[in-house]
Amino acid sequence: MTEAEAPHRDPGVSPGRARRLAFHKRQRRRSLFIGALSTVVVFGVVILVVINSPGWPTVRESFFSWEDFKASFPDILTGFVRNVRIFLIAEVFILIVALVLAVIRSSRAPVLTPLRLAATAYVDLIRGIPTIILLFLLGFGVPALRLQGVPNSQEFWAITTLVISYSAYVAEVYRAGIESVHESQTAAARSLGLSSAQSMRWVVLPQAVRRVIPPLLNDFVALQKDSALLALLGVQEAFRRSQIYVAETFNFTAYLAAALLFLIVTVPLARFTDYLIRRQRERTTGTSL
Amino acid sequence: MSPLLEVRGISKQFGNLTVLADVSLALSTHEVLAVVGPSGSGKSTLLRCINLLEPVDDGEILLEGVDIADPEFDADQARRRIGIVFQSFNLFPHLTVLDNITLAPRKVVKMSEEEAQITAQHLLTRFDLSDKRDEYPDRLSGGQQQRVAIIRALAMSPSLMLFDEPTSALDPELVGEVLDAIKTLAAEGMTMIVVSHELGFARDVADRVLFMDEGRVVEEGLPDQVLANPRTDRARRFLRLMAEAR
Repeated sequence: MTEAEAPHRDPGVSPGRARRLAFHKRQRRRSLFIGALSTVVVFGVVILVVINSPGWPTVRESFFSWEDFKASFPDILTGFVRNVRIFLIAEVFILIVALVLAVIRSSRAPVLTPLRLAATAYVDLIRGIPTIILLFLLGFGVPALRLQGVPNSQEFWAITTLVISYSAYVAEVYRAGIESVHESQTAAARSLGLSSAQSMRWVVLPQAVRRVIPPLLNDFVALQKDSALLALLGVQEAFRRSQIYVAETFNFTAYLAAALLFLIVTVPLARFTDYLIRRQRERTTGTSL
Repeated sequence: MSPLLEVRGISKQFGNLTVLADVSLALSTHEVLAVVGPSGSGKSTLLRCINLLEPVDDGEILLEGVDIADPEFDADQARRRIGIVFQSFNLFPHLTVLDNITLAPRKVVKMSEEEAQITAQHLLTRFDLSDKRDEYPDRLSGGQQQRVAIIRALAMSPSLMLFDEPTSALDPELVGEVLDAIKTLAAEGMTMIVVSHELGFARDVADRVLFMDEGRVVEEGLPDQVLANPRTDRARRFLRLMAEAR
């Protein structure tokens, strides 16, 4: 602080600033240490308890067998490609159907009243029915009707179920986004002569969609996992393949292999979602007016 | 000559609250009308009604002799001829300055992209903002945003401009640039109604001043008369408070 001290310090950093920086550095190091220590302790205890449990040798044999992992993996991987394909096809339709539902529900045009009622009923009903029941109803029921010109493939009905079910949820996500756009934006658009449809298309929706990308990705993660439900219709996806392997060998490692494949897709997606949320928060708190 | 705009006895209620009670006014081409009055006196609602953003409960709004407040009349048709500038700018945050300005000309009057851009560029240059054309609104100062909002309204070549407290949301040092822009427009002969708390500005720019209180027109006349020698008690009280606040 005195002139005598000054020459020893970095010329760009004042003594007060240097002291603060050092303090924060100490604090950061301390919290890093505490975090690492508690992680090691907690996981160490859990692992110890599991390994020392009376059933561990059997469990290790039937769930963590490297041999079975190697043997089952290629088959399950082929099945998983199917999961990804189903996911991608379903997602495209979900995004479109849900957007249409959300726009209908958000519109106030009297012409759309019947559609609006239908959309509301749809969202309420579908969100109220467990996906698995819907899957059985459509996957077993519709093909049993043996209607002319209606596809009988189980995969078709499985994808249809996912689209029907997830559209209801995703529509609500979109709608929340639409409603989060302040009405002054619509007022500004209408004041320029844009019709209400044009205001929705060019002013409200672009802002709404941008805001709901993180929650949408969240639903993608759930959808990717739920593609395993298709196994119940006999679709040869990853979980179904692992079930077959387990039935043949009475070794459960195949399930673990399937779970691992799901994680490879869902964990990065979840991390990416978190990253987007964080970035959005920084933006809105950082520079907003 | 018949007035460009004639408001005849409009009223507006929000629930039980009467916001506008039998308000009438007339405005000729090239005329500038300033509307002053305490908060909650219905000034903003008056502008929003003229722009048809709020439907009136009763009365007529004649624009070039046609009643645009008639429920049968196509409101979108009327709105594109009346520009409005809001207190909080209301620029579209997802669009660049240029796209903010060209959106309505392109979508509403189906102007070609080039033509809309030429018009926008011309206006940006005129208001000294051409270096901001590719910026997003949140990168601009409040004063710049409000000037872009003015340009956005002008791009539709309105025959009437409404200003709803255009400088109330601005930091004091940014008020001048927006008032200057509005003065320029007035000097060029734009017909407009300005709701403002800037009484000095109202006095400089307005041809006539309307004093409102509790949803009614209390006093109307030349700026010097209404702002310097008001006839009514209510106007006198308001002006005294405004003078003390300064």
